[in-house]
Amino acid sequence: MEPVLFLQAVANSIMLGLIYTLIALGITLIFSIMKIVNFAHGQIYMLGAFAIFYFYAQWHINYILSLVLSALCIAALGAVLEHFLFRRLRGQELPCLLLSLGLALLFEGLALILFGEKDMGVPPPFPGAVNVLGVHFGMDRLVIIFLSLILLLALFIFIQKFKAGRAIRALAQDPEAATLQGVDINRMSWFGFSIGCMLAGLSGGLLVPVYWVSPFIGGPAVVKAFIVMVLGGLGSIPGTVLGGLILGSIESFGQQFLPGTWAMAIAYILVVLMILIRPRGLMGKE
Amino acid sequence: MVGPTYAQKVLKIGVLGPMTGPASLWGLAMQNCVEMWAEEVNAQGGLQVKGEKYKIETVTEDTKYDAARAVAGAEKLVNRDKVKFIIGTNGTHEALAVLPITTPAKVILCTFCFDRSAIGVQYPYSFRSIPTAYEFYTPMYKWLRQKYPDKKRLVLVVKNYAGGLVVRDQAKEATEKEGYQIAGVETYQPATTDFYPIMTKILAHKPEVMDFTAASGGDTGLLLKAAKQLGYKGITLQGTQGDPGTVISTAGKENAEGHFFMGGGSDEAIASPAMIAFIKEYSKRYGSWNEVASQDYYIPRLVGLAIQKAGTTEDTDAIAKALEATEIKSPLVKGNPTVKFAGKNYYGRNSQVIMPLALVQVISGQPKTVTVLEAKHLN
Amino acid sequence: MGSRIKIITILLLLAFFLLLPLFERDPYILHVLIEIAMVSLPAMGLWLILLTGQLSFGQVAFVAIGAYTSCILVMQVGMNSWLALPLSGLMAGLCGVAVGYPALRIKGTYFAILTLSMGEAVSMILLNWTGLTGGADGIFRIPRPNALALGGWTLVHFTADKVAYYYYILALLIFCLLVMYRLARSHVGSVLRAINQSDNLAESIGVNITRYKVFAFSIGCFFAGLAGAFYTHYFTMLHPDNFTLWDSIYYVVYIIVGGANYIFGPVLGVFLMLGTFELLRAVKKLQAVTYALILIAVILFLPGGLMNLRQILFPSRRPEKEGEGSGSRTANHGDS
Repeated sequence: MEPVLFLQAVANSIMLGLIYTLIALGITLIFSIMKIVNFAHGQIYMLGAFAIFYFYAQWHINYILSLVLSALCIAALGAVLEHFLFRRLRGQELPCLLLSLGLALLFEGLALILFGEKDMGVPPPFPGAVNVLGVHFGMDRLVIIFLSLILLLALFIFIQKFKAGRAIRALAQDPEAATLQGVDINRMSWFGFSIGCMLAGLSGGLLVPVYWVSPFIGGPAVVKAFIVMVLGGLGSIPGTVLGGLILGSIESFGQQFLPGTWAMAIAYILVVLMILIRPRGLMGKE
Repeated sequence: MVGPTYAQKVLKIGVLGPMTGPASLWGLAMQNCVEMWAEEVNAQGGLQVKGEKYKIETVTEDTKYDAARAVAGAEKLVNRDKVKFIIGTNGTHEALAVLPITTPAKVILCTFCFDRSAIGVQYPYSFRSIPTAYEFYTPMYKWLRQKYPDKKRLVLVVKNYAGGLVVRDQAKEATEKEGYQIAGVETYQPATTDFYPIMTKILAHKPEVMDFTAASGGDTGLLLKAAKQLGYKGITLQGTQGDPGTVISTAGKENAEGHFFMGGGSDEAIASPAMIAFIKEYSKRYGSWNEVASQDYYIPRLVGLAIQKAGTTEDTDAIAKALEATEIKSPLVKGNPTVKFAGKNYYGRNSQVIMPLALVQVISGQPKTVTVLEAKHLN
Repeated sequence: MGSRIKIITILLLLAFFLLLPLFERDPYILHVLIEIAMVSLPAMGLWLILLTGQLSFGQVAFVAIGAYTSCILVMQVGMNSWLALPLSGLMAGLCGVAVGYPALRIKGTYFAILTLSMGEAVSMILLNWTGLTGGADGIFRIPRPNALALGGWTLVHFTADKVAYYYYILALLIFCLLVMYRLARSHVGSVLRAINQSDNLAESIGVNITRYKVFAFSIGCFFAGLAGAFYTHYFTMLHPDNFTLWDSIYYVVYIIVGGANYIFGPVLGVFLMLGTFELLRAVKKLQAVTYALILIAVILFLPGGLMNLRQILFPSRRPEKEGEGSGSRTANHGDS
């Protein structure tokens, strides 16, 4: 195979990988703090995308400002959901999972009624493409990669250096010990959930220019988030990056070398194997 | 007291299709067209059949693009609502699940699926409401060959669903007839969101023409974007109607430039004033225009005409026969070309609607009609 | 006292449903009832799997396995559909054993994600293995079940008419309910309940946990396989799109809504949700939203599922020897 094509496949893997990492961050965070698998993650991602659609494409607010606005809105939504719904079921794994499922259905249904059924795109905030040694990168992708890396760094610093961030981490590792040390579980759960939702919404907003938005983009997104989360390791940010890169590579190289659509089948089989052999994922803690 | 002093007779028309879910784009367009027609007819007192005026009532059932739901919907329409006419079924799996119910019940089914056998002689009450890629590809590739005689390397990009596979086969037939060399056929999974990997593979074949076959609006936009961003400079086209608005907004104006697709006729070059009015009315009622509606417009009218011609609302054998011979002059396209049923030589019966199809190209970010094609190979 | 009323209620319901086709001829109603019964089977299978304390999100894969097995046996091997039925169930059950042995050692959420991925993997394979399944084209014009004959006399013919199918699925439903009942009350059932309470304790008594879990799991898959075989010859068509993740998710929803502690929970859950769904046809776009709201309401306010409604409505009643109506992860599966 031509070296250029191979390089392109590698570039694709990295671009895709970071995109998937971005999508999976929120669900990983929520799972690590509250042990809740948030099925509604995909629909919150979708709502974030629609927020950008309205702020940026319809009301012509600056793209970066739109991102900030939508992040705030979605975080608020997350706070509301945690306070009024999830808090009642705290500690009950299965009911929380089912509740998130119900919310997923609800959001998709509401979105269909409110926003209509069509796939919609937004004007590209960063048009054009870049050619480096025969390998092509869409400008929009490069910017998104850049922004996601900044986001990852910010998140990492937050968790390591800031009090609230450390509290979240403590909760994730050992809730009882954390409480004994004075971490307010209520406040931290609420805060962590909001951040998780905000991340989901942000990833949706960042990706609208690269993909499109419709009420139905949530389902595939959350499934990919699961795969990343499992492969990389629940509760680990570097693990999420690794998981994302793995999935990105499978898709990128899988499409390149395998007939038809076997690439995704392989991704799923890998997940199954991973859980069987090493349930905490490649870099998960516990 | 003003108004009719007798209870007006009612003619029920069933509508069956995906009204929610990702495929609702097609189902809702179909439903809206039937509704608008019904209102138009009722505003004139009803459908005149042999001296009596019938009020049109529509009954809609949502299939969610699922075969089991389609069956439930059909059962309800046929056995509870007792309709004799169903406009609907958009997916092949929907249609083929429903035909065993509608055929013995002699219910006329106007499907939108692409499957060849669904309107064959074994389903004498079944008709296809819209043109498929088969009606489009033969004249289109002929035209393309003449316009760009040196571009012969072709890659087919196929979405892995029933409709996609049918269109792929139709594309193969048409392109081989015109002497194109098929350098590759690449299939992608319906849930694909990122097209960089598959586009990389496609470009490895060094195509001069890329046919997206039955890709949906959002997919087409992303395929175009990926193609252009990865350096492709050749021809792109598809064999179905893409929603041009979605394609252009998703791909971005520069990336969509030059793309060919089957048009619906809303382009001002060929649209008549009636079409403009129709688009306005549709957008007002339903929030935004859906290009698919420009083709869905005809089927309820054709059915209405056939009923009138046959002089009965009950005898579907007579109505089916009449429908095969029904034609109308399109008020939406300049020159009022004929829209009718044909296809006996290919489908076994005159059960395929044919209408002049605009070949549309994106020029300066706008869909422009380049030429009007006719499916002369069907008779 | 209570159990006599229970038995009478069950017998009355049975009589009602057995006699129903005599006075209800509307094919649409029959179709809805058939669908409810058909969907109940994998849900009941899931109930058995829940006995092991695990929740599977891949149940639809086993329905698909049963469906395609029956299709191949009948269409390519030329087998009688009545022989293909148990064989399809068996195939699904065997796949359940193959999956269960490694998988059932994993707990909780991990198991849920594992089964979800496995279900999706099967879905992708079905879509891509065109030689076996026809891929996105699907398989059509599958034969209906063979006529039931006895000594040259044809008793039951299967045509487009729903009545024969109605009794067929009813028979399957009753069969599976009986199996569930016997299993829950048997030695196996007690062992499973013990395992559910505490793995370690059971193991210390010398119980081979995995074997019991796999057994329950494979029976659950067997039920799903039977449903699949029925599906194939009822709809006479198969398409990979008919077996999606959402189906697996809905089976879980049905059990929870109906009540995970009761044998009739799954059927009740399916009956209510699918019935509501059909009733809501008029509301069209609001259907999905209403469905979601019902689900959320049940989770928040009726944790034991709808079968627990009796407990809630008549709280003064002495709780009988039923399991606790917790409806959460560990289901106690009492009698009833």
